[in-house]
Amino acid sequence: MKSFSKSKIHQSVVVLLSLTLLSAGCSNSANSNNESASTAPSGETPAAEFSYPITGGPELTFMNEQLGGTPEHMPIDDEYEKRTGITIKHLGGTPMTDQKFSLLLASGELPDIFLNTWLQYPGGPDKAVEQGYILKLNDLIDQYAPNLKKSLQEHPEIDKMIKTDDGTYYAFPFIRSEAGRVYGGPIIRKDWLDELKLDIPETIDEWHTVLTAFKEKNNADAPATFRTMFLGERTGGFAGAFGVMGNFYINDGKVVYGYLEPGYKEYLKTMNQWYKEGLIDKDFASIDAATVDKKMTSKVSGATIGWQFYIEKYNSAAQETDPDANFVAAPYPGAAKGQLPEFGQLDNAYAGTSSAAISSTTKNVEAAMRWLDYAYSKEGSMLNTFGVGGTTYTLENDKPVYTDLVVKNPEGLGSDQVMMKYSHGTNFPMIQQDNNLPAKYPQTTKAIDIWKKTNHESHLLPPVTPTADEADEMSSIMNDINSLVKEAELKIILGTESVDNYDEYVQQMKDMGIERVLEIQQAAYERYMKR
Amino acid sequence: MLKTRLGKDLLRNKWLYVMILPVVIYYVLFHYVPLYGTIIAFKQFVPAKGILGSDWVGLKHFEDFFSSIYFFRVIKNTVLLSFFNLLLGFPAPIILALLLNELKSPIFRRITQTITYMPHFITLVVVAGIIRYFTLSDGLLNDVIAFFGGERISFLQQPESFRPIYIISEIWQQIGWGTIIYLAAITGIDQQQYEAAKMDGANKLQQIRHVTLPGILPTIMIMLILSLGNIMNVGFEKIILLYSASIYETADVISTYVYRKGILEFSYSYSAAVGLLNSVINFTILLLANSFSKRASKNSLW
Repeated sequence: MKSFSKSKIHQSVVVLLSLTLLSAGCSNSANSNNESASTAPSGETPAAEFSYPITGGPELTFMNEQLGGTPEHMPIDDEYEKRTGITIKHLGGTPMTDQKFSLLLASGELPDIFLNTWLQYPGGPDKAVEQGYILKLNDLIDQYAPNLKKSLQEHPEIDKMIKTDDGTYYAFPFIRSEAGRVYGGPIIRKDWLDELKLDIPETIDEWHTVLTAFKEKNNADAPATFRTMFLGERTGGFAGAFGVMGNFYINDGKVVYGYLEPGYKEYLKTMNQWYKEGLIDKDFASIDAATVDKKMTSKVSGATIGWQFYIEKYNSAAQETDPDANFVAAPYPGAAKGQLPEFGQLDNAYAGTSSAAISSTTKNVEAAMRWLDYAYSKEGSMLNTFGVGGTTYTLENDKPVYTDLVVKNPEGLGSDQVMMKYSHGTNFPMIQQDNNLPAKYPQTTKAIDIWKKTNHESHLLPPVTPTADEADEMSSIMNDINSLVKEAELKIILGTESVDNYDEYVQQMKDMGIERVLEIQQAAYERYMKR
Repeated sequence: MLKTRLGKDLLRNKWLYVMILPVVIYYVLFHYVPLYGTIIAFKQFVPAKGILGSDWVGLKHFEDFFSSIYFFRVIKNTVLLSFFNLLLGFPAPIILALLLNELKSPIFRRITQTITYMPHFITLVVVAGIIRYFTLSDGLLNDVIAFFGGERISFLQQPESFRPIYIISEIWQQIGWGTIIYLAAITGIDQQQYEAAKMDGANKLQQIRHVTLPGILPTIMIMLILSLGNIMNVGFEKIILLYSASIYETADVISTYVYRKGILEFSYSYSAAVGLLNSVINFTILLLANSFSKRASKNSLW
């Protein structure tokens, strides 16, 4: 203690104080920058004169909605930086449904560019703007985003989807291509079917026959395995054959909630029957993706419902030990031969996912807008679809042709794995184009056409936006109802509850206010149709 | 100031005060300052407006919770799980400590103790993973059952098997750790008491009953009061890792319910309200337990 002289202490206090003052000064000046950026400045480059790359080498922070830390730095990132002149610092990601997201909002330290499903923001995207987290983009698009603006003028149907009822633009959208809207469905082991001399099942009854044969003749402990989210929630699964799906959808211009429809009870009855007969994985209600993968590739199961890339994954994993293994897509089952199921899996072209909002705290609005707008330009679209010219493709007769790096990768990588490094194929704010990428297994490529065969399009609820108050009311009702239906569904399938009790659950949903939710959805739907 | 008793004491024991300062600062900073945040339980908290700027809503969040159709179920699950956990989990380390104390070979005793408190250091995520895989219909537990000709059951999908799974795994994980404090208390017992008991012809069991147990009773009572004060806080992380919609019926407790609700709606205020309610209940039980113990056994926290 004694060695500390008074003057020393005095000195350090002065240093500390001046430091805090300095930092305060910094943040102040930053704030004033911020203000000048968000109020329409005069004498900025008009849209017409702007050309990439931007000057001054700005750096922006960026987050997406995938949990799992900061992604690896890829060649595509370098290419983007080279072309736009903007450095992107990736801060990882968090989906809106994760606790991290609330903490992030509460901390006030938002990234400049924020990819998320803003449609799902509690109270709707309008609320996120109103609460001051993200910017309203209408004027900014006029100023800095000529490419997006042009796309919206050319595609009024997209324009309709991405704004709210009062015309607010809140994000740069990820618009799926026609083929990209379908990416999941039933998957089955074709080699087992061939062995048993059975065709790929197309109806519920045929599925029953096939699964029974798998159990009895192939000794599959769990003929069909899947995670609960594929049961009527993310995909129609087997429910489509009964004309229902576990979600909100449209029947002849009216919004309905699948769980309330009589068909749902029939569907649960059938599933419970299958479960009792041991055709469905005994553990399906409590397993994770890794367990499903293991069962599918180790002869424990022969059918599942999953995403397109599972076909690629299962074929390559199973063929290591069992060269005959052959996983193919099966159509969503119908009620009878030749009858299309009402539901499969189909996203809206704009599902709301991976849409980039710009946070209100950003210090460089123009750079953020320019960086995002690049994806909607012709060059940006080429880059995101086919990768880097000369590296992943060459132009022959003005048509891009993939190079050997992609099709015959020297390191043995699949073409999709290579393209992940050199392009933004999906989950990125852009208008997705078909890249016609050759898959390693033709079964994977064929899957989309097989899964497309449903009437889902006529039932699809567009991305409606209830008002903030409506959304609040709806989410507080739906919260308990979501819990209730999941519980009821699982208990009935597992047989811990009799299917006859389903009517009581329906009554309970009515007591909890599901009809009010349907009113809100209906009104939002009608407003949407008038946009 | 230096004339007062406190001033004198400060001067005389200044180093002791300096030593306790960090602890006091820690408690003020991390346990008392954040308390003002609980006022959001009575507000509609919006992060953009800040804690003070958000609107007051009175008891709305408490009413919401009481009127939820799941209110009674989550309260019931919380209390039952906690109660059985205490009933079976509290005596377990005491019994184990008494048994360990009787072991003759010090080496064997140390090995046993180490083995029993090892699981305490395994992270919950791993423990939950082990439980999951063991209870699958093709897992170890079912292999044993099937070997003896039983039926394979997917335990984690059966509402009635959740509590046993939770409590057994809890005891397995915490029993060894819990013995440490009791063993320490046992070493503090005067050896002459045992001599005297032997002279009076007491056998091993009688010695345990009349010497060891009364000797560690104060410790037992304090531990009991402390655990009663935590009766509403069941292991939320463990349940989140183990449950699925098929067993909400028994596994959904206050904290998991609030977590689901809070996450889906960002209802910070709602979560704060339920958390506050939880603390009030815990605190009440703690007060009751303390005063009861004071009257019954002269041992108490204060």
